[in-house]
Amino acid sequence: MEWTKKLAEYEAAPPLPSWNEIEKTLHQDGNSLYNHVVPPPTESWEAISTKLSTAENNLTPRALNWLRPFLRYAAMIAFLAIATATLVNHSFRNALIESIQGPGIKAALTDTPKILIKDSSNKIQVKQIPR
Amino acid sequence: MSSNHLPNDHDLIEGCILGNPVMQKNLYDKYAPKMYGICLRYAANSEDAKDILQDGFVKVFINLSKFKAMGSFEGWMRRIFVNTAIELYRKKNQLYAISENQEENIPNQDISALDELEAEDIIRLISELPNGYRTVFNLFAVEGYSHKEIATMMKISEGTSKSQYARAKAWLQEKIGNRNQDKV
Repeated sequence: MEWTKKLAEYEAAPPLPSWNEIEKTLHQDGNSLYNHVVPPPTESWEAISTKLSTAENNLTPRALNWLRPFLRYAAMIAFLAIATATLVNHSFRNALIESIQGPGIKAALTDTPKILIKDSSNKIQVKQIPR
Repeated sequence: MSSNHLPNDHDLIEGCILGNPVMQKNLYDKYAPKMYGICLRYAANSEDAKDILQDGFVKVFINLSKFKAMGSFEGWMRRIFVNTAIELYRKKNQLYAISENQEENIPNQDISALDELEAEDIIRLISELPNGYRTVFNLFAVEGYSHKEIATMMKISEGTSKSQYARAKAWLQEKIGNRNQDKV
């Protein structure tokens, strides 16, 4: 008969379940995956303790955290102070003049009044002005 | 110690922030079964689930001082475990975007076939899902995140999230169908 043939076909290859059915099962009370509970493996706590102590040892002590910005600014101020002191230091200034060796700049930077003159070969000469 | 004598969440959190190992163990005992349930849903195998459980709890203990008691503590922990699972997924896999219109091609015949399907069976089926499908399926169908939120969390497009979910649905339907066929 027709219906036995259909039944046999259905039993041989039942159609896929509808998604609504699956969703209903997912949200059934007492079968909710959201609150599903499974006992954890026994060795997990030991592994967590070990990992936790390793992680804590690698962290910077929290007490020092507030000090960080202060230390950063202190280092910046110290650097600026040293740099300024070095630049205005007299010996550094002289060393700078010597290193430049340019007669014009040297004359301009030294305290004694001097004038610049060109000789016959067009070289610049520094001549001290008598006081 | 019976569960009735366990300290409440507030005391557990304070104890853990102070680094009290007894409180840490108590917090673990209280929440590990539920969190392991989450880990199993997101992991492809029990080894990955164990890794997510361990890394998740280490993150929880380290970041406990950042927990603001505005919302549920369990919800906060759950988010940490879900994010840890996503991180593990990112390390191991890449998502492959598929065409969005495949969502429309999913067969949707009517048959009631899930009467005997238990949570364990569903978890087993979910764990067999390909990685990308599984993560998106869990986030959307179980945790209740929107595709937009999933896209942000997983750094994928919203379309990819939708298509991964559609694929997961089709895959699960087929598997459940096969399972029922085996029983006939």
